[in-house]
Amino acid sequence: MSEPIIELRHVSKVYHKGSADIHPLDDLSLTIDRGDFVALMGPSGSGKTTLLNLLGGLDTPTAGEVLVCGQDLAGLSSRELARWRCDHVSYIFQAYNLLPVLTAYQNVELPLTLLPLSRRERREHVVQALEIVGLAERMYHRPDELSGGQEQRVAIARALACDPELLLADEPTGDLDAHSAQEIMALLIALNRDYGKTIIVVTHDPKVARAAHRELHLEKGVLARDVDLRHEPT
Amino acid sequence: MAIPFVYSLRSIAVRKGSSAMAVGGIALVVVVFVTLLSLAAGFRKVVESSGSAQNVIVVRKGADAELQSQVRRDTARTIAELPIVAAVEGRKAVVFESVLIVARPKQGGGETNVTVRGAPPNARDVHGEVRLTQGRWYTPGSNEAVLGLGLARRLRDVGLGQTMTIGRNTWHIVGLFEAGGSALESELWMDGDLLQSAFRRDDVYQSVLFRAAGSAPDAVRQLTALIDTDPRLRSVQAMTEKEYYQKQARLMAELITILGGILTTIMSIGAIVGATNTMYAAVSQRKREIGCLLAMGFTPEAVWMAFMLESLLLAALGAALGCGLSLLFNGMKTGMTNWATFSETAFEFLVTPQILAIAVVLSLLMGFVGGVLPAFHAAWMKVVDALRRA
Repeated sequence: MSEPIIELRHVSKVYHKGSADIHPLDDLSLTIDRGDFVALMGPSGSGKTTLLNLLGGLDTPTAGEVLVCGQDLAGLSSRELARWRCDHVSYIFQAYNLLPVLTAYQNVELPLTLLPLSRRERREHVVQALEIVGLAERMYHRPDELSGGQEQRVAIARALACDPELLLADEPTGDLDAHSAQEIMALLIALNRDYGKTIIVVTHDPKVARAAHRELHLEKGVLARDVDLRHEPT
Repeated sequence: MAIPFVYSLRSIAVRKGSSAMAVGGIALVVVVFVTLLSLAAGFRKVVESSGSAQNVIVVRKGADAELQSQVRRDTARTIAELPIVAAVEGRKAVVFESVLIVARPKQGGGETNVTVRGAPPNARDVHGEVRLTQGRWYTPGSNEAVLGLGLARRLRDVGLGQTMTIGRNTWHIVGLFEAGGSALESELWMDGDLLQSAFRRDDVYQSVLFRAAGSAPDAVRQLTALIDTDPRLRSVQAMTEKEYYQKQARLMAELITILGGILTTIMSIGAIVGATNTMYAAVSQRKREIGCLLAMGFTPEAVWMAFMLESLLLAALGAALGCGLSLLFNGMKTGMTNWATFSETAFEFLVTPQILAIAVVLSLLMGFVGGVLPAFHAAWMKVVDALRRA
């Protein structure tokens, strides 16, 4: 029996824009199991990024309950949320969001400075994370000295450094050429398969979605389709 | 946990243009501030170093400077006979001095007021710090004068061997003197009796200066008690010579410091606006970096600290640059009119460690005030808004 890592119960999100109310998520309930690889798909404005932000504790729901890694995020202050994120969740962004003034090593080390680790322990984690993404030899290069694919691999190493249970990726291949995109997807598949990371990827790309175990299709803030790809013929 | 220092440091280096503007603005304020304060400090040092701790000066009641003073000959003689006046080599160490000011052209154009002191031959019994450096002393009863070194540097066409016309008389400059860097070095000295007759000042001097037999403050107390009781002395007041010069220095130094304060305040506001602008631009350019740091688990306080540190680093760089530039002025010779005596006083810019320390604190304050709002803006940004692509 799989253990759920994410539980959403009747979650709604409402934004007020001028006099109009926008409902990016409308009474959404779903469960995601630990170790799953989920592709979150849907047209623009369907609520994918809003859902990802709620799962990462970057945003709060207007109604409903969000339980991630056994924690109800609604009751946490911004400081507690920051601490919780540091312990459980990592993000991978479409635009990599590396700090341009820091080297690959320093970028990967950054989240580790939040943990009670010695310098030596931090170094071990950084080197290990960069080895997993195949960039150990470029650790002293700055982002502007790396290709887009390499930057995204450094961003994945940064996401891995704290050994989070959950990886949230918002269109991680959106800015990459086909070859680099393929490399990044192979890396994400390996992280899920070999290291047991739960991965949720927001994507528009069906090829990316095919790498996942499960495809959640959102439309106008509701779950339009939930497909178990492990049992689908490819 | 704090965001590593290297992030703030390198972020400054990356934005060279806007960082240089903010640093330059703060450095400019520091230069103006340090220059003005070193001007006041240099002036204060010269005037305060003037006078001997053993001397007592007597001037007219209410006079802050010799120029405003008149002491009648009989009053002066009464004072000279008092037992509080010390004796040197068998004669009383007391001088009756006449002072007037004349306008002379100065180096670099314009005119300045020069203090002319008529001193008796025994003047150096009381003015112990005065030493001849070139030439010789004036001969009593002759149209000769000696010039202070500070004044010799500031005046045009006046020097050893040259002449100077004052009133209807022409005076030959036969010597140059120094006076331990004190205000006396900005004076022209000549025979007192001759000056008195040339300017028809018979019977009136500007001051009586004497060496106290005991301590100078004691002599002042005794003389003040006498002044209160002896009708011959009721028109005068006594103070130590040190106190006399300190009062003069305070007036002028306070004036420069107040003017400097006003100017620095106005310029500081400009520099703070510049620093705020630079930091707002930094925050706006790095919105996604901030969002990423917050998403990673850094607290808003850590983000606030990182941007404050950046602003304070800019200010520290401005302080270093400003202090460095200001030090170039240190020891530079200058002069200005002492408003207490209405005459030229030569001195050097004096950049002291205290002035530099105040300038550094002022700069950091500018950095703090300039950075505080942009840093708040960065730290309390909504993460989802910060991460949104433009």
